[in-house]
This record gives sequence, structure tokens and C-alpha cells, in this order.
Amino acid sequence: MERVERIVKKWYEGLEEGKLLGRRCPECGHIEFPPHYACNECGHLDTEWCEISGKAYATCFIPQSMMQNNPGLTEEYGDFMWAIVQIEEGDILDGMNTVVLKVGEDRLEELNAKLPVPVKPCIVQRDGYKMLFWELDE
Amino acid sequence: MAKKIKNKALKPLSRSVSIIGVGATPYMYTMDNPDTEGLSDLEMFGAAAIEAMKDAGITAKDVEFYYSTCAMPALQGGYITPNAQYSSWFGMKGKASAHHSEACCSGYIALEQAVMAVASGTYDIVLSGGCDMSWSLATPRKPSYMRRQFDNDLYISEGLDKLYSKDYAAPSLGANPLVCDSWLDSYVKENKLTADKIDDVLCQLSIDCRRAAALNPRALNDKTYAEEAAEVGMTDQEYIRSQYNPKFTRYLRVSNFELRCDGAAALIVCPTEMAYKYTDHPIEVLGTGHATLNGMIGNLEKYATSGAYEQIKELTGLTGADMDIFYANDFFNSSQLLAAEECEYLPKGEGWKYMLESRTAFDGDRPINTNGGRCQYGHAHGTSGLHDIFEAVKQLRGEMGRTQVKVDPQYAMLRGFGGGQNVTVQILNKL
Repeated sequence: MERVERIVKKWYEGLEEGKLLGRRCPECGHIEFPPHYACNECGHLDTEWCEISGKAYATCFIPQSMMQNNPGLTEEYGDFMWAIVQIEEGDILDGMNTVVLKVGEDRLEELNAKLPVPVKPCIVQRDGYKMLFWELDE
Repeated sequence: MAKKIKNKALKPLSRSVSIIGVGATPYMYTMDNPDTEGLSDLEMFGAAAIEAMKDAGITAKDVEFYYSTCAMPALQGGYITPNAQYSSWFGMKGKASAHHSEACCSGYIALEQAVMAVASGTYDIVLSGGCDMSWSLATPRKPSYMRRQFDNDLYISEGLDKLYSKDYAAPSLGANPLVCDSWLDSYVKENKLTADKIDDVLCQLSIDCRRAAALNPRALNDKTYAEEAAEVGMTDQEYIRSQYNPKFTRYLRVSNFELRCDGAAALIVCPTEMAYKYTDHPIEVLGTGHATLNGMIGNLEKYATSGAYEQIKELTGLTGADMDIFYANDFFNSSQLLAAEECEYLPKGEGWKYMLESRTAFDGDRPINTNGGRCQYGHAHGTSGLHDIFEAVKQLRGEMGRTQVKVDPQYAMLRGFGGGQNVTVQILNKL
């Protein structure tokens, strides 16, 4: 019988320690980030814990709009933009929908001209848990 | 370098399946109109199902299995088992049924599921329908005729937010702005378009889609933009860029975004070999390409559209270029442009010119969303795919009257899309 392992909880525990955890496929070497049980690249059913470098790039910036749900983010962290971020190790096709903090729409054109833009992890305290966002690496 | 979704090739259906009947209520704001106030999802679904059966020339006794769908059944109808609640309303009491829910892709998957039930050989006649009360919600613990407004705050917090996974995606944040704008953002950059130029494209698309909707008795809108503009002393081109139609994302104006409403639709399928017993004009379903990504994945609409399209292309040997009409679930109307190019219905990098020249209007040479689409016809979320299938079947039969396409259509392609999940590409063939 398979042991049911707590993947999500361990990932958040990693954030508490400032670590970004992923899962490496022993068959093809693909990194699942964020972590999942099985490999989405080759379909192998087992993966192993590994630590992610944190090196990443934003490939798209989209300003805030009326279409978003934004409970307290601006009040707590100031300006931000929505962004697609790809980690150096690669995963989930070419990036994840996320948030880059501490940057406003006034820099949109400048950043668009420099894509892909280096970003680094920005782990912030939310209501009872840590959350991974990103900030410009400059 | 972006990866591609490459799912296994589809196998041909075990037996050919055709649509023999369709039905659809108008799209409406039921609770805002004295003539429709108090209508519930039960009556709406029942009416669409009965219209589909009458269109097929069958009775409820002929239907062996039915599917129901709704994007948010617990919120909109107050049920977790809508199929069980609907069944008595159109003569299905005691028959086998199932409910499925895939947000705004539900209506397209309604067709896929019905086709597979018949192709398997288990059933000969299957009904598949949906109802979404996306404007007039059920009131908890009250009779079904007592509705309440589905306001925007509730829609974002209890509707759109539920499209995003709760493992690693920012809880309660969602990524709606990215889902709306990111693919278009990359298209604008790749094709070196200015913000004003893409605004011109989407404005013209709105005007042309509204023209189709205004002529369609099932659409929410019954006036063209020219008529609306005249009321305030403007031309449609002035009006569409004015304070009456402000931008609210990086690229999208109000007219480029869905009109939430109430509505229902249904269809009947059977083996093609039996279809001529019921109709002179069966519409064969050639298959469904299908890919799924969750809302955390960047540019999910592009990747899943590509994956689903490659499947149907490989299965049928047909490309988008072979199609005569194209439908794209467009809760932001830029999806018409992007999906039509991804599915090769319009040439890569050229689609924006087709739209600027109104060539994708219902009376153009490459028609898209001949009913006006989600932004002008309306969007009752889980049913919109079924409304598009209704429209496609009627177009292929040549029954759309004032909005009948000018080309003689043989094939229609439908690109379904749910907010952060399923994407389908289906081909219908006029026999």
C-alpha cells in the first residue's frame, strides 16, 4: 500500500525555513516545482525531494485590474504586478501565474523591453502561513 | 523555450455519432424582467431539453440517458445533484443520468460525453444539456422561483476564485488578470502591434459581434453599437472608444468582456446510421480534442488550445483552414483572434487584419462566433458551449435567417475553454 505523503504541508514548512522545495524525477531528472507526487514530464510515478535554486525569470508582466481578487495585498506590500515566472530548473510548461511585489505599473514599459527579467523569491507572511511571491532581482 | 502539450492520439469513435436535435432558451437577465422574473434553472433546463427533443422529432420515451451541466451548480441552483432535480421536468424520471461541471468549458464537454456514450454502443439516444443562472442565483433555503442577484463581488470571490488550485496558487488571489491578458500580450509583442492598433482590432470585433447579436433573437443585446451610439450623438467608432466603453485591463474594454446572464441549452445525439430516421440534416461529430491545465500555469489557454487542436487535426486529417465557421469561447473577445490563429483558421500573425477588415463577422468570408460570442450574445457560463453548438448546427443546416453566413458551410470548428482548466476543439460535419 502506498504511503500518503504530505507534500503541500512540507512545501509550506520549507517556506518557513526560507527554502523552496521541489521534487526531482529519478527517471528523467525533471523537476516538479511546485512539488507533486508523479512526474508530469515522463509519467514516472515516484519523485524525490530537492531544493530549488531560487533563480527565476519573469516572462510577462500584467498590471493590476478590476478583474482581480486582491485581499489586502496592496495594503500590506504596496505596488505589485501580475507576472508569469519561470524558474531556472524549468517546470509547468514555461511558467507559473504569480505576483511580483514592490514594482508598479510605472515600470511596465521598461521591464517589457528587458524580458525575460530576473526575479528572486520573496517569501511573505500571510494569515497563518508563508506565501511565495517574487521581486525584481536588480 | 515553451514546451508543448502532446497528448496521445485519439482513436476513432467506435461508431459515427450525429446531432439530430438542438434547443436553447434566449439568454436573459431573468430576475430583471417582469416577463421572466421567477424562472428557475429547473424550468430553463426543461424548456431547452423539450425544444431539443421536438427538434429531433422524438419524445422523452426515446431518450435513454441524459447529462446535465452547470458551471457552479451549488451556488446557482442550490444543488449538488442537478441531474436528479431536473429529470422530472422533461419526462426523464427514473432514467440514468449524470452531472458534470467544467466551468465555461462545460457545454462543449456536454457534447463530448454524449458522443462517447453513444459511440460506446451502450445507448442509442442521449440528451445532453445545461443551465446556468449566472445572473439570478438561487436563494438558500427558499423555493426555486425566489432568486437573488449574482453581483460582481460575489462572482469574483465565489466564482472566479474557485478556478484556482488551493495547493500552491496564492489562496484567494487567483490570477484573472493574467488569464485575460497574458496570451494577448505575447501576441501584441510577437506581431509588433501598438496598444492603439490592438485596441482598434478589438473595438471592430465588438462592433461586428454586436451586429450579429442584435439580429439574433436569443442574444442579450438587441441594438447595434451604431444604434446605441446614435442615442448619445456619436458614431459607433466614437462610442466604442469613449467613456461609455472604458478600458479595465491592460488591453480589454468593457465591450471586450463577457456579459453574464441566465440561459439553458440542450442537444440530442444518436448513431449516424439511425440519424436519417429522425432528420434530413444530421450533423456528424467528428471528434473532440481535449487538454486540461489548471489556472496556475502561465498562458494556459494557448498551450491547451494547441494540445487539443493537434489531437483533432491528427484524428480527422482536417485543419482549421478546411473549416467554414469557427467558434471560440471568448469570455474576453481577444480569444477569437488568438484561438482562430492557434487552430489555423486564420493565418498566423494575420488574424488581426481579418478582424480589422470585418472579415470574421457573420457576413464575412471567415466567420467567427456568428452569434456574437460571449461578449455580445451573452454568457451563461456552463451553457455557452451548448449555445455555440446550437448556433453551429443551425448554421450548418442553413437555418439562421438574417445571420446566416454567406459561405456555404460544410464544417464548423468549436474551441471550448473554461477559465482555468479544460480546453476542447471539436469539428462538426454537415452530412
